[in-house]
Amino acid sequence: MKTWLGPNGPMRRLADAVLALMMAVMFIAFILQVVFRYVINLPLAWTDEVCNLVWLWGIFWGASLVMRNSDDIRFDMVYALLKPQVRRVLTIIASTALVVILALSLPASWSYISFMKVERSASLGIPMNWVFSVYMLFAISMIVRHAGIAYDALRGRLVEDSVITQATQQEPA
Amino acid sequence: MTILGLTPFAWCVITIAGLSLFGLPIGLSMIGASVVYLMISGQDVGIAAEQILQGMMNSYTLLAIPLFILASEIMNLGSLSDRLLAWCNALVGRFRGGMGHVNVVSSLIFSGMSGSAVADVVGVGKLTMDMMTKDGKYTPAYAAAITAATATIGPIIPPSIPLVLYALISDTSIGYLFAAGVIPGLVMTLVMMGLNGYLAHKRNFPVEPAVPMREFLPITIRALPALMMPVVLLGGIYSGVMTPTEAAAVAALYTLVVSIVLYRSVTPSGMYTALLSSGRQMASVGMLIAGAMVFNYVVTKEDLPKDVQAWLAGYELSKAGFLLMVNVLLLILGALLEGGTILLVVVPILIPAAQALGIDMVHFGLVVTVNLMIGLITPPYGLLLFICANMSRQPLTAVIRETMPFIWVLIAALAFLTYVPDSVLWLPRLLGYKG
Repeated sequence: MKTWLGPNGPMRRLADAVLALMMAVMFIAFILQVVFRYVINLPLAWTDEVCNLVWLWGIFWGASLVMRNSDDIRFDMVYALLKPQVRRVLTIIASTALVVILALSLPASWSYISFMKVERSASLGIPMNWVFSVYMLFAISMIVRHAGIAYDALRGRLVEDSVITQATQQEPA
Repeated sequence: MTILGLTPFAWCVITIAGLSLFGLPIGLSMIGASVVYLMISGQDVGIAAEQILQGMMNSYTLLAIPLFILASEIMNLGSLSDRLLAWCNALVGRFRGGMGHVNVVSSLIFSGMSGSAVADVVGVGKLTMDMMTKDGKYTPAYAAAITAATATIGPIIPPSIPLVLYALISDTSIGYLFAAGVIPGLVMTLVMMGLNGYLAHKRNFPVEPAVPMREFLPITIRALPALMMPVVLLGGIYSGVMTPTEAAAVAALYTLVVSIVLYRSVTPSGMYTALLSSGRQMASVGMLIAGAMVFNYVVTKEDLPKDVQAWLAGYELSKAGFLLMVNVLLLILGALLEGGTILLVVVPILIPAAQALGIDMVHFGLVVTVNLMIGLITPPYGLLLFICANMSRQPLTAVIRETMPFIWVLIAALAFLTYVPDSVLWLPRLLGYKG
């Protein structure tokens, strides 16, 4: 189980490959759109929508299943200065709080998303509750991840210990 | 409803501060805090999901961001960088402190292709840093400092990811914002070349052997396809043929074709890495945007911009006084917080006040972005300092010491751009901007 879901396990690699595929789809859809609109003069309606869908799904898929904890943008200036024991306590508090908050918001989020079944996307006709369901994947995976982080911190391990300076972190701004 | 005498909005701010100070990612902290706000104020908690999902589905212009990221990933794969550097060296290497000038000019040219300072540093920045320190010509700390400092030009010269985000929050045209970035980018280039030239004479930096004129033409031809990329990108936008988002896709395609056909430097596994890495960066910035979408709902609901405006009106600030306050505020925040967070959370609160004072929104966007870029190299947080110190294996303090003069000249450039709005607005007006 551990190796299956581990950092280099097959599930992880599959999640990576899906994200890379989404980026390729977005890129190709845009190119098709430009070619059809400006070269062949035959605007496509569905390419815009595909790009929008991939943008939404790519972000939440990536955040849920691909991004390591260290890929995230965080304010770690104060945090980095603290002693490991203090950091561990703060991590337990913050991660537990997040788990509670997100768990409390699940029913209302689900009720909004399932309500959206009445709408369909403009050109592909996909029910919007399917489109938006990726948010549930995201919320649940954040709950699982942060429950794990809190549990690890409780047992004396801290995931962030090794990545404090984050010197190689990619950040867009 | 108030809990412990605090309003829902106060709890929201406390939660954001608490979660993010305790080490949670900022996007997640904003989502969590907004849920807390909705719960305490008795609103439907489903609004959080609604704001995020609807906001993300209706932000077509933001799609330019993953495409710009992809274009720079592809560029960093290939040998485009080597050829451009050879060309820059032929152009400015002959002067005293030549490699320093090469560093500045190559950052200028690369900024015309990528929209991110970090992409510039890990791509061409690493190459120039290696060239400067090879044979011990320059100290690694100086090389790291000038690389970090010049990378700040990246998001000022179009294309620019921060300017796309600013267009979203201020409802300004991306095309005019991009045009407004050109002169500020050139001003920053000039002041940094000036500083490098001055230091070169003072410290007797080496001169590179001049590249003979007859070799200049072949070197230029080799670099030409890469040099054409900004032309393709900006030409596409300003001819009105394409939207900035489509132009970003075409730019990525152009880079890919040039890298494959002319330079033969792209392998399937390299392409996979580039796609995955751009996907990851997209998810990272997307989380921040998602958090900002729901947090901005809270801010709007609470009428916070109006409060700030009323509070500022009490001080009867002039335009110049307000801009000075913004400069100082953002320089301080920029040294502490990551740029995207400030842009998406703090700047929307300032925009109504700026509008009320009659400050041009395009000008304001450039002032804000230049400010945030200086923040990237300002200690203690300055992200570029960390990256460059790490890449050059130099202690952070040594890099910071060498970076300080660059920060001062950039602040001087910022002051000029802030108080002479025409310098920023001249080019957009030439292209038809009415402002």
